[in-house]
Amino acid sequence: MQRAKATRDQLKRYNQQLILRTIYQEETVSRAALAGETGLAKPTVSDIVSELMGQGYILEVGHGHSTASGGKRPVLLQFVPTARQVIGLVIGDETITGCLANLDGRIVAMHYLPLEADEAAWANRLEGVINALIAQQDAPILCMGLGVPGVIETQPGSPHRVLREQIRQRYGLPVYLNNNTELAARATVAFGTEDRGENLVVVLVTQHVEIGIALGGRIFHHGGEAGTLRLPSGDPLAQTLTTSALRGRLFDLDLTSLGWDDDPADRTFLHLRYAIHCAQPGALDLLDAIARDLAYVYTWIIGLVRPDEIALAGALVEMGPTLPQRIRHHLQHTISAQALDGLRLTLAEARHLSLRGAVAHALHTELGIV
Amino acid sequence: MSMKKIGIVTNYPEGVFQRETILGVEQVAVAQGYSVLVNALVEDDQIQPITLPLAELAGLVIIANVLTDEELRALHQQLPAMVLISHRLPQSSIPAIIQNNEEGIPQLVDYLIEECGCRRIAFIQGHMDQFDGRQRDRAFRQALLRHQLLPVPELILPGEFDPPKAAESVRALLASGADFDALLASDYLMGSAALQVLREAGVSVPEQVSVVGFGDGVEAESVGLTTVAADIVELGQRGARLLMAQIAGLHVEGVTWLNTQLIERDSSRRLQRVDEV
Repeated sequence: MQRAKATRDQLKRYNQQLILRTIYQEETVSRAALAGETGLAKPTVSDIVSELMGQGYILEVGHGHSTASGGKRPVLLQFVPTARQVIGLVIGDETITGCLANLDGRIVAMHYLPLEADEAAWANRLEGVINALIAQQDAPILCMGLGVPGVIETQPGSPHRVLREQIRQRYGLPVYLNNNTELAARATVAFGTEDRGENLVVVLVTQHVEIGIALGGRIFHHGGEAGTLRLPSGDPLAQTLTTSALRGRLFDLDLTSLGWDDDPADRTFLHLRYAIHCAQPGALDLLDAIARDLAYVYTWIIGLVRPDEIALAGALVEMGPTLPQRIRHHLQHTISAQALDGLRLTLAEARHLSLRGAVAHALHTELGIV
Repeated sequence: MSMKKIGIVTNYPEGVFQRETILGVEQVAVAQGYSVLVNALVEDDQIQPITLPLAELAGLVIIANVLTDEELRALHQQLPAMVLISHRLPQSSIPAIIQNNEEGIPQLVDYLIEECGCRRIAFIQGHMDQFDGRQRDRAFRQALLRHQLLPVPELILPGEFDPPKAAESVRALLASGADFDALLASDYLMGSAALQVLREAGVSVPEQVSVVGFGDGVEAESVGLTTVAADIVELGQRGARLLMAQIAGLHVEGVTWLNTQLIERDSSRRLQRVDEV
């Protein structure tokens, strides 16, 4: 099979992204250092730097030190995160969430709109959110990242592709589409701590139970939602482990021994966390049940992927560190001590992980950064 | 040709929050060729009717809960280009912009507990009839739960976004002898008033009590109050931009939340870490 040659435009774009990514990752850098790090010829670097400066992505910020052999002090270049903005969008269970972000991923403003279950209404509601964000832009909008629940259908004419194309044509901007859980995995990798291992799995529990996989820093296509898988009890995950199923169990908890006369309908997983902290028996039982069910999901994941880390995302994160601790306890019965010993079980730290992932995906695809 | 106009409806235009919001709206509106008419609906503590010439306006900005839900819906029928600032109307298509209470209040609680070592935090409520007041109260209670703490009823103080009322509540708290090591005010003006009361009572701030507030302004800076910043002028600017988009005929819906940043000043102090000793 013959590989297609890269076109001149593709090569130029690749080199631009390489230069921009290098400048983005350093605080400041000279043209000579850029040539050294990227392997590009100095004239090529100079041309690209001039173009990027003309577009406002980088600027000159003073001088560095002379080299050991003396000579002119090099001019230093710095990335300008406010040169453009990116719109991130996530279609969730009950809301559309959008944001305006700078090129370093910093979110400047967020925007919410409740959503009907009817997918036919998505395009209209999205338009209301996108227009609200564009109205507030502080810099030209570069592109959009869009997250949707469930499997992304890629065949021509599929609803997801039609939606993306509608937005792209309406606003004349690139739109990068992905599944919410994959975006959560991307955000965890892109904005996470440096001591994170190479292989990460994110389990996102919302109205669905979905899995996003990052291997060697690459995000892999999410194959389907795990809610249809059955637990040893015979119950599908979707009946026991989604947030609506768990909220029902939260509602039924008798917490009067804690002296609360709250409205059970107002309870959150924070209340459960507190009740667990007080060793309330019903709360401890619920913690154990949730941890046991998650341990089954984790066992499947470990068997398939052998990740360095499994991060739990979604509202269950509010239960706090006792949840991964209890999951680890149950995993002792399903995987080897050796496999468990090297495995990190964590809670995804950031709120709006999928939204941050939508921004990261857009920045990565468009500019090669983040 | 008559100049294009937009209207702002508010309660007390002289209030710091209202003044800065109006300033932000005016900056954007004037730059786009609009004049701005401000209608204050409260005079001598009496509610007045709207006197704006609605038929002449291109759009309307409503600040806080100055109108009832029914009045807002009726107005929206007459004037489709409308934006709510620091308020929202559920089940309506009127776009709104608010400070991110769900981020800012937990930022303050986390800071007091994790950085300043506080455990018994008194909370000065805003107006519980207002969206911001209710949401900040809820965010405070949720943030405490996250740290395995429950709100202490005697440490929840009425403030109603009114500095003299807040000051009176803090005096009553001191008189009660209740034990507290921090005070979080739902807005920085109440926080500034509370700080004054504590200092006058001889309470050492931040050594005995750390004091923080939501929102920021010149008053907070002048008394050295630690706050989370919700830029009110920016709130007005972004609200005006939402309005301009609607006037231009665009479909705009939903609620914008502005993020907050912590601004540390003298009214709070981080615990010194072992490795810094």
